[in-house]
Amino acid sequence: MKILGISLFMFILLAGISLGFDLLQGFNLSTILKTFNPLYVMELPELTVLCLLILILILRPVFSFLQKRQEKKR
Amino acid sequence: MEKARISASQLFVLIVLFQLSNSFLLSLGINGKQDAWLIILIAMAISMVLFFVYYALYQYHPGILPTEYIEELIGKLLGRTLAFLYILYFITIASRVLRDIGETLVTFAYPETPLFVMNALMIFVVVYTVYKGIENIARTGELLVVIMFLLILSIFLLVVLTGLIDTSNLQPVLENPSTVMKTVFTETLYVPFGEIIIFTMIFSYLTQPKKVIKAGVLAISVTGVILAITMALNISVLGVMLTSRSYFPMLTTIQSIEVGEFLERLDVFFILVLVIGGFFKVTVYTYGAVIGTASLFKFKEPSKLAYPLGIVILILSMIIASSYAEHIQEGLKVFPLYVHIPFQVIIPVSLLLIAFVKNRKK
Repeated sequence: MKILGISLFMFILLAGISLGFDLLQGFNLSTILKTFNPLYVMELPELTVLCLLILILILRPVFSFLQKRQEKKR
Repeated sequence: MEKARISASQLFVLIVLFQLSNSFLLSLGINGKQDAWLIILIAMAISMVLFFVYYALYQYHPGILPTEYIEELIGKLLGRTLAFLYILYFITIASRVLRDIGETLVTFAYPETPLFVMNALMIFVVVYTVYKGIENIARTGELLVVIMFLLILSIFLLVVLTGLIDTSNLQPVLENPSTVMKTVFTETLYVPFGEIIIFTMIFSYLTQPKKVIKAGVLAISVTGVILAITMALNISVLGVMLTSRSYFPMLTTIQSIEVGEFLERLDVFFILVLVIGGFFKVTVYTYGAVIGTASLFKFKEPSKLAYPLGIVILILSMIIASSYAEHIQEGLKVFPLYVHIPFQVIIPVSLLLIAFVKNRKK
């Protein structure tokens, strides 16, 4: 869970910094939101792969967390 | 920190592959027009000073990672924050390089394949390599550096054999010295030469730490000379105008190779150099981010971080810019000034000064 939290924190920070750089270049908000263009144009197979990757990322720590909790209960 | 050891020759190989990577394919220092090769050589010489700064910092704290000695130098809170910023810096550059490779491949070789697929395939290999550790990365480097050198050598030879070189394109030499120096200090010094700051994360794995300087200086010299020859070749074959307008001047140069009316269309050389070099650059940056995060957040097994950080790099590479033009614009105008100069020059030099003052008191 700690890994997941740190990764998420880093991602949010980095995405924010990336948007900040766009602001620094003088773009307005509607143009900045176009930064997500490569995600909007994704087709179903690509989105499926992306979701699968994120699911694997989430499931592993969640399972290990649950396992540890069960062991503690015993 | 994982229990692994690499030799000085492996460090040399890693630095060479790391620096050649995508820099071999871009038009480095083209703002200086026909003096681009000279700009690269000057940047190479100055980058050695930067390398000495990084090494001096390591010598004050041998055997530990920068994320640890920053804390020792400037205190816990500030040190940890700075170390965390360095990790974010490594991740950002890894995702930028990943985007570079993906966009290049999609633009000229795989127009029907989505960018996400290209980036995902590359990051899977990177995650696996990082998971296996620095020793495996170094050994892979030893294997691939031979292929890389053979490819580069054959490209140089074939361009010469084709007879396309027009040395008058390189004249006059040093037409505008102020532009040359400006380009060195605003662009070329930081990419690719200043990027060796990531190797401060790897110095502590060396079996012979005394040989760091020798390996580093030799690697920087070799890369600088190869990159200078490459730019000189590009300009002498394509001319200044075409080189500056082309996103990938090396590709255009390779495409113009035609020996004996049968040896042509050697685009595959370009793909191989791009993929091998790009893979190394992303791997070294990801590895730096992984061990940095592990040491900062006290993880016992750094390899567990490879996959999560790989996914962060992958998604970030997709959202870092809306188009390739914006990506390049950011890389040339915003990053050197606001990111590279502080992280590659200002902070390390300040840290060295602090280390010097602290150790003098002792």
